[in-house]
Amino acid sequence: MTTASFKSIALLEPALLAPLRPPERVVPPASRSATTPADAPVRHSRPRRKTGLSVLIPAYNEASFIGDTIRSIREQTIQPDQILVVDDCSTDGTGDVARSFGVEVVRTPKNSGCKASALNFGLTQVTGRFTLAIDADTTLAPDALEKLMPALDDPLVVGACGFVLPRHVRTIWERGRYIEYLFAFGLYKPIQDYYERPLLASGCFAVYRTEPLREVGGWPRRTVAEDMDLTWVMYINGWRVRFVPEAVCYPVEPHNLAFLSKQLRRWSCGFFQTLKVHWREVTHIPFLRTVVAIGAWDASIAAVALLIVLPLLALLVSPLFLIAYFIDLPAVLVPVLYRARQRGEVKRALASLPGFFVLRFVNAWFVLVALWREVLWGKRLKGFQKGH
Amino acid sequence: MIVGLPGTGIGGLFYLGMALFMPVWELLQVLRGRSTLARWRFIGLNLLLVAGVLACLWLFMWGVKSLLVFTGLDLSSGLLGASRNGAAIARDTTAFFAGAAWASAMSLAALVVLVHVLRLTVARRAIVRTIPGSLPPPRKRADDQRS
Repeated sequence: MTTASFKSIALLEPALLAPLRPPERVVPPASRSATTPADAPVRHSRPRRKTGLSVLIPAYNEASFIGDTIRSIREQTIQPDQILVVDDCSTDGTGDVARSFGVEVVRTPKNSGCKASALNFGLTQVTGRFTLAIDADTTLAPDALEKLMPALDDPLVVGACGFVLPRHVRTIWERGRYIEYLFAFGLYKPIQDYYERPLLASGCFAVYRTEPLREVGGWPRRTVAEDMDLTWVMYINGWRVRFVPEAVCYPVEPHNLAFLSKQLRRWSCGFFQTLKVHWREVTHIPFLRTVVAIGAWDASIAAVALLIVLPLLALLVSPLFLIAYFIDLPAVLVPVLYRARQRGEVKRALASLPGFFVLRFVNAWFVLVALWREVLWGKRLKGFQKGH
Repeated sequence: MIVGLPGTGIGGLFYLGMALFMPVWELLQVLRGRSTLARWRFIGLNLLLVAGVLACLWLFMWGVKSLLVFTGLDLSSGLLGASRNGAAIARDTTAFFAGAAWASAMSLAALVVLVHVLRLTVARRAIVRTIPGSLPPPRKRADDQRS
């Protein structure tokens, strides 16, 4: 499906998409009500410089987390002009919790079952020149917005994303994810950014220029990896996306296998879905084409090696082939410990290393299942399930 | 979102190579007037990381080789194979690691060639900017500056 046809389809969703350019809106001032949390900061009364930034928070049954998210936005060193929570027909009072913080809350007419739909519904209400999408379970470092926004000073840049780290690092799955993120966001992504092609702007924390975002029809609904899909659409249009490692966010990461499974299923299937949609255009984008090809290769061939080839070699030839499972330990350890040292978290990183090697087996399994499902069998994953 | 297996496969080799290529790329940016001190500092940092990775890899391989020689374990003759000459074990271990590195490098080279073959053979489709009413190309937007 081309981007043009996606935009046409997006325009045919009258139930969820009002005219793409909203009328002038007056954002209601934050007020202290009986339900306002006692520790929510009061908005300053003196006029402050407008940032032109609107924050979009899509939410479905995120009552437990959304308060922290809004609070972390309110505590930013630069303040957005608009905070808009899109309540996708939650059943746990998410909208009420958000309203209690004095932010704007809009409710979709019916549950869309899709983060991209909820974001696009909110996009029709956005008034800022810049739109920040943040997950309802994600908090930000206090200077995250201040660090992120200068990336958009370059007129060629239409989007930017930051460094992602798990909010909690307790279970083996969270620890594995912590190492993965330190490695990927500490080594791979800065190099991708140097060559001006971050693979994707993470959906949990990314800012876009509102105009180009509307121009491409908002977040794509054709895949379950709307963040990767949108990033590649931006590149295909000749625009740029940046990665800013100093802008840090902390989403809630899977703490158990059930939660992890839903997330990995979505990520793995989403990657292959996005690849199927865009592979022709991506072959014409320097550097990105190689990064994507290597990602596809590692996702599939390395997974086969990890789960099938190495165990067979260990069984039939020599158990010493099991050393291959740790052969890249130095390649992982050096950048991970460097980033951990920057954050004063070396002990945490060392303690989390075993989780990384356990998590890679689970990753490999879901990647192979996604390869079978999306590429070989042709049965697409459609539902969007956050997991918690 | 991360897909795949960070640190495994040929991805690590690719990014090490890209880090080593940075000084060459940056010299081109100097000629284009786009280089800055901050970019050279970033390159220096990545070269240090690459040096650290290679040093640790060498140490790891030396450690594995020494362990195998010390214990008399042999890659080719099974778990508790008959104790062989230490030099032979060391040679076999080196060959094992060299073989793994060679296989990764060849896979990466083949993949890069495949990508470029696809680039030359796959037709480019029209992009969104051909739609009437779309934004002009970003380079032409002189007013699109943050205040």
